[in-house]
Amino acid sequence: MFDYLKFSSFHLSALITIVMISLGGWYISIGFVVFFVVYIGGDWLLGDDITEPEYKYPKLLTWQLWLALPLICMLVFVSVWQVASVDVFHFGLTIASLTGVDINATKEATSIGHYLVLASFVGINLSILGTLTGHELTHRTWDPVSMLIGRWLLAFTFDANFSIEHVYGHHRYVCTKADPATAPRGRSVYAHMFISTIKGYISAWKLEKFRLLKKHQAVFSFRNVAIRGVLMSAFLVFSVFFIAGWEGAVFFIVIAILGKFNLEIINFIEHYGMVRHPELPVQPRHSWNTNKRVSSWAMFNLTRHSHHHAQGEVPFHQLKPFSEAPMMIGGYLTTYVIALIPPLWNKLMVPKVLEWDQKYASKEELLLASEANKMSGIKALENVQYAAL
Amino acid sequence: MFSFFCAKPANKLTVNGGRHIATCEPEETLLSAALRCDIAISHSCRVGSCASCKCKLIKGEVKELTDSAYVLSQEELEQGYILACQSVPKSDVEIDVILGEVTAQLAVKECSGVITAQQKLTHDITHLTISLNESMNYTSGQYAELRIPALSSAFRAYSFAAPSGGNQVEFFIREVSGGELSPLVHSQNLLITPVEMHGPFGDFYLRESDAPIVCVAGGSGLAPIKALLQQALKEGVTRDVVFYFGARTQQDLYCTDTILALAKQWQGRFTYIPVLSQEPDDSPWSGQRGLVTDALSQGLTGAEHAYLCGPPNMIDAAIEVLKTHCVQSANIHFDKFISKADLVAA
Repeated sequence: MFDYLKFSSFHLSALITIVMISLGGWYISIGFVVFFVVYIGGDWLLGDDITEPEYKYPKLLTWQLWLALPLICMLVFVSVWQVASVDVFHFGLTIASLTGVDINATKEATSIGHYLVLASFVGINLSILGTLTGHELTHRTWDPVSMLIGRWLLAFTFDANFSIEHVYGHHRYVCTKADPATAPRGRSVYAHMFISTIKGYISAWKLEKFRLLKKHQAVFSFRNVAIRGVLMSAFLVFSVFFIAGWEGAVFFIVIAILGKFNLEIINFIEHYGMVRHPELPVQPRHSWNTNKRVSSWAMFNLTRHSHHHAQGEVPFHQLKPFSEAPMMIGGYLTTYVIALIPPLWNKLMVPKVLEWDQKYASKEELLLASEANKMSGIKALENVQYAAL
Repeated sequence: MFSFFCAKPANKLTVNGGRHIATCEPEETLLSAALRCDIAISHSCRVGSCASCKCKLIKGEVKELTDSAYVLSQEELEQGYILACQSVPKSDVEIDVILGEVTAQLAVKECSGVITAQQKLTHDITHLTISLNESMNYTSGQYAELRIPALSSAFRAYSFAAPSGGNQVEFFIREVSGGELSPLVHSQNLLITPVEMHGPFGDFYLRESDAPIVCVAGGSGLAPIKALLQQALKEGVTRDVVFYFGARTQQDLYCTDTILALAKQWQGRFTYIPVLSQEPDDSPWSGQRGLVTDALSQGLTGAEHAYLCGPPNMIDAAIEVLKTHCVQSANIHFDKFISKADLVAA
């Protein structure tokens, strides 16, 4: 039973977030701080989860993922309600009459500073609730329901076309120069957010264009999955505008972009500095793995990234922990925060990357690593060159 | 009508004209099934994005889990290529695919030539030498597909019987009773007969290592083992070798002088052990009798790397013996010689 429930921690955290945002004012900031404390502290205190339970009812796990869609709708609703100048759908009034808590009053008192925290808080929740679930679901290319729900979840961060680029681009080119989502040695996370976003969008468009050309179908048509993806996000923006006015629409655009950037931070920490010879198969050594308990539960084993890339077709509940794989600095949120502080990131990651070269790289990859070191702009890496073998 | 409620049947996967066979469990992809059965289809991403596992669908129907048009070229789509990692069979299927790591570097060629020598080695094995109109590069242990248009339209797979060297290639062809090609090879004079050939294929070749080698050959399975050892000799390999050759009677033994000469030149220890299973008790044969796999089970340390080639039953039994003696699966390499008759029986 618990083996199923542990993958519902993201539902719980989304519900708490929704309540905290509805309450407004300082509750938003308190929620934000508690969120980080629980995830970082939990990973720090509770160690690893390397269990591999057998699931008799995997369909239940899929339903858990599908449930993210109503939750993300609620999350975005309360967020835009909080910034909108009107009481959208009389939400505040209804809650007041049901509970006696006048959230319209606290909404009035919510200041601009709280809005900034709100944007960051929703942004990170969107990426867990939308992007990570969407990622898992859109890998299931054989299941049309999962694909549909997954793409809508991704559309909330303007990224429905991640379903194209990620599967047909990133998984193919991971750790090579051709992969937009792999951060080369020396790149800062802030540069990566923009570079990976833009290159990823272009890659998705190209993949879709060539697919249609090969099938002798029109590129500018409704068959174009990439165009449909853009329209899905446009539909969401217009819907928000319709119910919550321009303040709501602008705020939604901001949180969607922040959500997308959060995904790029995750991409950054998952493959930073790794190299792969394009002709060698993707192996567990080509991802930074972690088995930290709280991260693994909240992100339904995305943390077991080494196995995910070595065998992309395996659903999350069957991923193995691969304790021998290269390990991230800490849990996901811990590593995420460190990545946002580039000097600290470099201090901790340079030794890890060099250790990766020694311990994991193939002969061909050592040469690529030498080149990556030379181009990195980081002194401690530039000095390390491997002799041709 | 209630088929919906029944468990779906497993489907058979035939690779490269029957050189390899696998069983696909319901919902299992061709790649997973092949890898589970030790058929080394090259692969990388496993999500239908890299096309490393592309193969040609010859027979049968598959369900595609992703749209292969994202990664295959227009020509490939039109020629019926599919992605092994994204194809679940809906029926028994047959595919053609380039196997193994080495073959990825050696281009598969289609060429033609003529038979320049034909010699009977035993009562059922014929040695063919073919002169090609271009050179053929392969790694010893690999095989080619051969067709003799004057005899039959069928392509059949045979292992190279000597190391790669220019335009000349050699094969040992065992007569399969009721076969479409081999009985004719055996009975007719084929000198100067034109031949068509595709190759090289296969992932059976000597892996780099210092571990001792144990070889087990049966029937015409001697060809790739002999070629592989001859190439190793040229390359100065000094690993110890024990070579078991399983045959029925003395009249089924062949190439004995060649192998003894090889043993003499070999820089490490080289032991050749022919084992006869049906030699009459009163014959003067002083060598080992019984099943080759029983002989194999004596003297294994578990450190050996094994190379097996011959009929499927012999290989299955040999793998069993090797595993019980702690030889790791990753160090057991084999090429099953499967005839059309085996396929019907399977």
